[in-house]
Order: sequence, then C-alpha cells, then structure tokens
Amino acid sequence: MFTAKEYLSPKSLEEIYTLNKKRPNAIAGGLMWLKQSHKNINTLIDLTHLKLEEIQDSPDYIELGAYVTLSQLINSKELYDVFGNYFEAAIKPIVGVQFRNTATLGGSVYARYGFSDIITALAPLNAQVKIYDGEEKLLPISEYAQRKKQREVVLSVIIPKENQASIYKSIRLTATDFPLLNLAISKSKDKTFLSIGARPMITKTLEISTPIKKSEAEKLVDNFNFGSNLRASEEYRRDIAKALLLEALTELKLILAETEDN
Amino acid sequence: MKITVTINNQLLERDVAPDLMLIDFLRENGYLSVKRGCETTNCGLCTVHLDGQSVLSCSVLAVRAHEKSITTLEGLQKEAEAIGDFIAKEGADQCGYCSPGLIMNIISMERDFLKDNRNEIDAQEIKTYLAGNLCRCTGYMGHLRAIANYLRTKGVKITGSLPENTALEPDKALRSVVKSPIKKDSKALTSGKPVYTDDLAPKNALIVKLLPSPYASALIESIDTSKALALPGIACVLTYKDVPNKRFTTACQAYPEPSLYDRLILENRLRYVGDPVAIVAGENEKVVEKALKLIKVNYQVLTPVLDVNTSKDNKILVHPEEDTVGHNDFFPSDIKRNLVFSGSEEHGNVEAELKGCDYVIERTYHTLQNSQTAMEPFTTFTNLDPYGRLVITSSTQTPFHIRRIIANALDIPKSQVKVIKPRIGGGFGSKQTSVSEMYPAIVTLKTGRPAKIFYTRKECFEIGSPRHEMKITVKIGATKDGKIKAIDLYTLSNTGAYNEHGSCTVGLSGTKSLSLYGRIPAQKFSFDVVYTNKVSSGAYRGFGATQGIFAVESAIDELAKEMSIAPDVLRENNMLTLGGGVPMYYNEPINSSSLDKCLEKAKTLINWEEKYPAKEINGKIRAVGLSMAMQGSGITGIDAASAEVKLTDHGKYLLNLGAADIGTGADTILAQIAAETLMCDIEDIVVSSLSGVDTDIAPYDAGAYASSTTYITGMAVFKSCEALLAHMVGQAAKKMEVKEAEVDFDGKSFIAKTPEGEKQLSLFELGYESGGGSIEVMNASKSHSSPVSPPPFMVGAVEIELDPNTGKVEILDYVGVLDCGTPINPNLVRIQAEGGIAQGIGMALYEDVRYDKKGKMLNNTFMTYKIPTRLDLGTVRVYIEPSYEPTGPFGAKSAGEIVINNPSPAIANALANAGVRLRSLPMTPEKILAELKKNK
Repeated sequence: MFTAKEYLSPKSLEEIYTLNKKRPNAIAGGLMWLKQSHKNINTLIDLTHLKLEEIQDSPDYIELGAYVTLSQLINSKELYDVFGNYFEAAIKPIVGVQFRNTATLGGSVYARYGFSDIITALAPLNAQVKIYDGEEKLLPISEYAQRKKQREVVLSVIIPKENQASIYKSIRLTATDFPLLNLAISKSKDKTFLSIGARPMITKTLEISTPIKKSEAEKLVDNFNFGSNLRASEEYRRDIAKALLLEALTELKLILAETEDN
Repeated sequence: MKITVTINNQLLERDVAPDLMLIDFLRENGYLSVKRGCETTNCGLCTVHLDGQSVLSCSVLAVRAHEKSITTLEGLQKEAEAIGDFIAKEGADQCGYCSPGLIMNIISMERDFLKDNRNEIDAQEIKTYLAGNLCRCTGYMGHLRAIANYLRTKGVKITGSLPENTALEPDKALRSVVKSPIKKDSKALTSGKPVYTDDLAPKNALIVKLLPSPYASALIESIDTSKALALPGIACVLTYKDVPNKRFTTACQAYPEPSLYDRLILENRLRYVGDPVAIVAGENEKVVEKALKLIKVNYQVLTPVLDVNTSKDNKILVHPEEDTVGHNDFFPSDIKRNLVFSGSEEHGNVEAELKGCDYVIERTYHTLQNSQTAMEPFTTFTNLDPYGRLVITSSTQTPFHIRRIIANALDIPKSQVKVIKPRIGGGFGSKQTSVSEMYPAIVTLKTGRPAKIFYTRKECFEIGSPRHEMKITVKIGATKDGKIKAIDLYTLSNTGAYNEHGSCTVGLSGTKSLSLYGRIPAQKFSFDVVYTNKVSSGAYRGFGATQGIFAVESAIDELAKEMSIAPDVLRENNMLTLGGGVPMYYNEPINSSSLDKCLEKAKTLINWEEKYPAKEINGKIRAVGLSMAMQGSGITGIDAASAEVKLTDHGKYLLNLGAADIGTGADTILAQIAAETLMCDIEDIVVSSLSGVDTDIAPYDAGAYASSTTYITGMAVFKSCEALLAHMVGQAAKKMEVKEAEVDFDGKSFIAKTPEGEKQLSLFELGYESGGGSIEVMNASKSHSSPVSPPPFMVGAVEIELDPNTGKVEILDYVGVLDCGTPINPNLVRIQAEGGIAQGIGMALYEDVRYDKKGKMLNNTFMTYKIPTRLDLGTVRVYIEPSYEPTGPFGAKSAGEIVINNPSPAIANALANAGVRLRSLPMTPEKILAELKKNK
C-alpha cells in the first residue's frame, strides 16, 4: 500500500497539471493499481472537479471522460449502438463487477500496461486520447500507447463512429485473469486495423487489407514482436496470436478462399 | 481530513488520513462483516455498496466516501437472512468468510437485474455478475443452486445450465442423520457476525509483522535494529538473539511428532526466501511497516539447494546444524544427506511378477506445490490472562497441537498456554501447521501486551504451508488377459526448508494410490523426502495421496492404451475389492466399498460408452477421462478424540467438543450424531465449540486433519451419548424407584413397566431433578481411536473440450461419485465434494507455483496464482453412492479430503484421449499446445 500525506481536488486543470508535475504527487484514478504500489506520495490529486465521469454522444464520435468507469463502458448504450458487444467482450473478463465499478478508463489509458484490454480494444477503432500537458492535445491512441509517461493529465478518449465491424479476442488462464494475449480487429468503410496486445508488451496496431487469404493472414503476425514472462512464452504467444487472428477474421467473414492450387 | 459519511443510514463524522482505505475505515468503526482476503483487488471479500453500487472497499479511499452513502451487510440484515437461508439450505455457507462480500454482490445483482422488471435470467449471467467473488470452499455450484432458488421466489425464471439437484433422499428410518439440517452457525456466518480471529482481536493489540529473508540461503552476519526500535510506536524488534535456543517443529501432529525438531522461531541461518529475519511489533501497521525498512541486515549469501532432483547427497546442506533431533523412531532421517525420510516396502515379488508380464510401462509424473488459499489468511492474536497464562486465539485446525507447539517454541510449560479456536475461514490443511502463532506469542511474552498478526495474501503464499512437490515414477505390468500383476512406485518428495509434514505426506503417495489395486500379486513402494531451500511444505487436502493418485491413475490409462484395452475395463478387472487385509494398506481389511458401483454410475452419468474416447466438433475436440481415488478416515491407532455430553438442568443437552470445525460443518454433523443417539432433535443440543474451542475446557481432540472428524470424533460423540443414556436411565430408575432394567427411554420420557404398573418421568423432570440434588448430575465423556482407517472411495469422470489451436481446455461436465459410507449430512458431503473437485480442477489446469533461479516465488498473489472462479468449472455434479462402514458412526467414513484426488488424473486422461498426454501439473494451455505441436 502507498502512503499519501494529502488529498486534494483542485478546481482547475492548470492547477492539477502543475501539482501533478511534482514527482511525489499522483493523480488518483480508480486506485486499483496505485493501491498495490509502495510509493510514498505527497499529494493525491482527485479530478472530480473536471467532470470527467460522462460519456458524451455526438453525431460523429463518442467522447469518454477519463473518470468513466469500466462498468460504464460495458453498460453504455452509446457504445453498444455502434460497437455491439465489442466492449463487453473486452472488459467483462476484468476481475469482477466490483472492480469495474471503480476502475477508470483514464487510469487504464494513462498507465499503458502491457496487458491492457482497454487499450487493445480502443486502438483499432482509430480512437484518440485528449491529454493536457500545458495545452490540450489530441493523440491517436495507438501512438499514445507507445509514448512514454510524461506526467500529462488524461482527459478523455474520443472514438469516431466509423466502425462497421469489430471483434475482440483474448486467451486467459481463468475467466477473470489477465490476458495471455489479446487481439482486436475493427473494420471501417475503407480501412481495417488489427491490434495485438499483452505480447506481453503494449498493444501495437497495424493497418491490414481485408478480405485476406488465410496464408497471408498468418503472415501478418510476423509484424508483431512477442516476449516471454511469467504468464506465457514468446512462442506460445505467437502461436495463439495466429490462432486468434484466424478465428477473428473468420468470424468477421474477412477470409478469402485460397485460389491457388495446393 | 474530516469526512461525513452515511453508513447503513447512520451519519458518521470522522477525521481520516488521506491514504486510509475504506475497508480499514469500516473495520475500525466496527463494521466487521467487511473481510479482507487479498491486497490485489481480486477476491471480492471486501465488497460493500457505495451509493448503491458494489465496490471493493480495499481500493476506495475513505475520503472519497465523503458525503456518500455506504452500505455494509450490517445494514442489510433482512436481505442477508433471506439470501443466507437459501445458501444455508445447500450447505453452501461453509466457512462463511466470503459470505458477506458475496451476499452484498448478490443484493446488487438482484437490483441490477430486476430494475427493468426482467422475469428471466440466465444462469451464465449470474455466474458472470458474481465472478469477482472468489470462494475456495464450495466450488460455487451450491451458490448457484441457492441463488436460483432465491430469485425464483421473486418470480424470476432461471434459464440456462444449472447444476442439477443431486441430493440424496432422506432415510426415513433415521431421525437426525442422513438428513441435511442447515449448519448451526449458518445465520451467524451469512449475516456477517464478527466471529473470526481478526474480528475478535482486542483493539489495543500490537500489530506484528515479519521481515522476510530476501535470499533462499543466507547467514545473518550482523543485524542492527536500533533505528527501528527508536521509532515512536514500536514496542519491540526481535531477532534470533531474542528467541529460545531450542528447536521444535510447527507440524501439528500427535506427539511424538514424525517431524524432526529442526527450527527455531528465528535463526541466524535463513533457509528460504521469506524465512523470517526479524519480528517487529508496534502500535499500528504504518509504523511497523516503517520500522521493517529501518532494520539493517548484513547477509552472507549462500548457494541454495533448489532442485528436488539434486538435493539428496548434495554437498550443500540445508540443515548443517548439530542440534536438530527426531523424537519418533518410525521416521528415521539422515539430514547430513539432506534426507528427511526414506524407506521402502514390498509385498509379493515385484521383479518376478514384472518378468511374467506381457506389457510393462514406466512413466514419471511431476506435481508442483499448490497453495490452499483458504479465504481467511493465517491470523493469530495473543494475550496474557490476569493470571499470567498465555492465551492464543488463532485460525487453526488443531488447537490442542498448537498448545504443545507454542509451549515448545517458547520453552515454557504447556500448562501456561491455552488456545482458543473461533470460527475459521477455511483451512484445507494449511492451518494444520502452526504458521502464524509463534510470532505474536513471543511478542506478548516479551512485552506483556496483546499482539496480533494477520498475514497478507503474499505471505500466505510465500511463508505458508503449501502442498509437497513430488516426482513419482510408476512401473506397472499386466498380462494379456487384462490382469495387473505388479506396480512399483517411487516418490521423490520436496519438503522444502523444514521437515514439517514431509515424512507423513510421502507415505500416502504410495499407500493410497497402490491400494486402489491392493489385491494384485505384487507391489513395491519406495521413497525419498528431501530438504530444499524453498518454503516448507505442509498439509493440503489429500496429503500426498493426491499426488500419488495422479501418477497411478494416469499410468493405468497409459498401460490400458499400450494394451489396447479400455481404461474402465482395466480398472474393473483390477480394482480393490471387499475382504481381508490389504498388504499396502497397513494390512487393514476393507469392510465397506461401493467403488465398483461408483465407477459404473460415473460412466453412466458422463455417457461414457458414447463419448469415449473423443469426438471432433466444430474444430474442437471433446474427450472424456476418468479416475478412481481413495483416502483414509483418520490415522490408524494415532488419531484420538473425545467428547463430552451433559444433560442440562432444563432437560436438554450440551455437547462439548474439542473438534475443530474449520467451515466444513463438523459441529453440526457431530450434533446430528448426538441427536440420533439421544433420540432428540439437533435443536435440543447446544454445541459448545460453536462459540469456540477452548483447550482449557474442551475435551481433547487431535483436530481437523486426516479426514478424521466425522469418523473418529463422531464415534467419540456416539460413545459419549450411549454412556450418558445409561447414566440417565440409571438416575431415572433411582428417581422412579424402579429397577434399571425396567426403564425404557424414547428420547422424551422414561417409562418403567413394573409389576405394579407403568411409571413415567420426563426428560425435563430428570434434568431439573439433577439440578436440585435428588439425583446425580448426568454427563459422560468418552474417547475414541480406531484400529483401522477405512477408506472412502470416489470416481471422477470428466468431459473436456480442447481447442487444438490454442491449447485451451474447457471443463464441460464433471461427475463425481463418492462412497463415504453413510453420509451423515448429504448436503454438507456434497458441498465438500464440489469444493474439493473445484480445487482439484484448479490444480490440474492452472495452479502453478513457480520460482525464479534464485528461489524467489513468482506466483505469490491472486493475480498470478489463479484459483477457479465460478466461470471456470462448467457443471460439476456430485452423487453419493453410500456403503456401510461397520466401524464408523452410523456407518460413516470420511469425505473431506478424497474429493480433491480425482480431477488431475481424470482431466489428464481426458486430454490423452484428446491426443495429448501430459505428466506434469498444471496442464496449462501452453504445455498442451507445445505437446500438440510435437505430435504433429
């Protein structure tokens, strides 16, 4: 458990940013992870006054505040209308309802954990992260995922409503475990993106052309690097990446029949 | 910071630290239904409602509850009673430690589901909603049955796959046994009453924590505690210099213990990562944590012995000291060879028999440490009573052994120690080792103050008492006609840093596996138990039999395959039958067995004939597998228990027990045995141990281990009740002035048919007369120990679905058929079985304790050591196939341990039928896929 000397809810974004820049301070998201750290924090910063708990629907995009909980993502009608069960598939295996009721989107996005189901789900949707680091910026989440933590404040995630079909897959030891690997595909009108995460490195996203032949689809996995950790080996991750990719493409009906004779 | 919160509709204003978590805030303010089971947001035990929503109070800051409304189970007593009643009817309250969190989440599930006036809910939705609530006792099926029944009372239809009700029909000839009354502690548990060790600890108790060794093997060169001691709020810092220099063992076994006396409370030699270096006690957790960081230690780091294969005769010794001694000649050791125990026994001529076999196979199997993960962590508090005696209140399975062990550890007279066992949040063997008691005990002795230790989940893993890692080689031969002629089994067992249960568990790996085929011509069992620099292993449900049965029951299938014979047929041909002494089973007879019926029934229920061996469906492979298992009922001639039963002055009974109910329902089962004997209802019996076993008051009982409570203590209860009946009849005769032989008792009245006519005296009258002095006060206490340990039997059959592209295995259907003799309480037997099967499935598929190269444990939290959730078990169906054991109370044998033994071999055999034979546990998707690729 961490220790903290002070707990503040500043009114302005500027104040929050300045306060958070000091090293022993930290922004409090859902605390699911922070509470497991042994940091000696000076000031814990709460973002309540920024009103980031809402899901805002616009004609072309959905904006998710950083304090939106994982449960809100699952239960959001706005997201369901565009993405169907996609977010549910990605998020429901995360621990349990009690956990998801307080774990925040912003916490997941800022932390950029290798195993993140959230980032893998958001990445192929062409989503953008709104951050503040002295000024407001919009960054594609696939780019943000690769960026170092710079004590910026995550404000929201903006998802364009371009999606035509999307699918989320993962393999876990038990139903609520971390993924050994996760994979998401989203197809919009003219583009298809493939994201693979928990490799165990953070999600990487690749534009792919679909429909695609099975033999070519298998080769796509070579664009991703994999590693070993306690949960799974590099080799196993590569194997299941292939398996999940073919499964996902098949379910999306994006596999072309092989025409060559073999 | 000042916060104002509404807790259960009451406004509370408090000043709180900015880093205080809600769970601590709530417990400090007396809301003790909120339980702690991990530090990693995984277990769900601390679930409360924050503004009506389920949250984990362990990860919500108290300051964030400001101006919000919190509800704990204390504020939802009506709902708790309604839901708890359904859970209790299934016996699915068990230890109860996870009940408050579960019920809180059931209540929020009900609100969420019913807010849109839904009238249909799928079972899968229920499982998914509650997946974040872990339970280690029940295996979840009972919960699901209970919740479905509860929701039905709200007019909701439950769709989808529900575990069928497999309860036995009650036996009409019997009054109180083969019946399933709810547990006597049910209401207390499901309503969240403060009944566990940590709930009862005095608020002023010093908080005790341990400094763990960072090295698997090291000597403390110097240790400086001055800075830690100087911290305001620190009461003491103890090192090896402060503890008695007299070795002892923490294995809770009957004296003389099979275990060597090979440890000190603290020592300058550290033998595994986590081995305590120092004990710190202070006024609160924060200051103690701080003090731990201020202790300066210089270590001389030594090369550890980590590999079980290279420990024996290694030049590096885990115990080079000279003062480690044994007290039990039956368990010789040679610690200068790292050898804790070794031996061999042979019945018949194995070599000669194997020569005559048409088929001989030899295979080696490997099982890892497993952690019991009782939901209640190891917890103890201690204090001195006003007369200077040490009182230990602890979450233990063995209060009487703890008394001896702690007296030994502290080198004080045993009469100066008393032990209290309150309600226990699960044990599964882990609390048959004195893991946590000695640390607060020595703090209390040194400071005179109450002291408490509450292990973190990480400590439970790293310095607990896991299952022994074993490597087992089985050589087995058979002739063409399907007759097994000989089995040769060698076990290499890893006891870890200390002897503890190492010498005993290894025996069961041979006796309880080979005896399944105990009537074949020849059997040999040999073994070595070695020290290594890993956490010392202890007792885990199954106690070595689990490992041995995984090996033998896998090997039987491998042999069958070699012989091109069906594995069920090979078993039918060779299984243990009723009759005289079984050489490998201590030459004991088998007086009761329905093993053959269990096998037949399991095959029918899983639809074996149609499904064996495997089928491909939509690119996935569905396969079935089965296994047989046995265990014992108590330790022959060693386990001892006594009971005391009294007629009260209001004509009811008091049953005084020393037995340790650790959540199984033993207190209730023993009351049922008493009620049957005394011809009364169990409501007429007050059970003393319900509110705690106190070693000063309770009659001696070895404790909850070796599957002994129903069988051994049950007989002690039966004998005590019979003796009381005789005493009562005698006193009734005296009161009525008739001859004893003329008196009949029907449970309510004493009726004497004399030549002068009929006389009658009610039990109530007898009771108050005894209180008035005209007759004797009536009580009886008898003890019991058994010259035999009759084995229960079980058959497990499983259908799995394997994804050949990922190696992922799903359990579709699991059938367990159990012969436990007479099931005293069929619902409690069933829940034991469902829970044991769930643990067995976890062990088979993903419970994976791993170490790095330096001996540091890697899977030491619920994030990395995965136990099954309610979404991982498919449907588990348990059936009872009773037999009648003449030496047990009303024909009962044991049930508690055997139930974990089947899943590993049954699943391994199913996987083999799907094309992958694995011989090491756990059988993770990665191992399965690697094997599939090899076979391609």
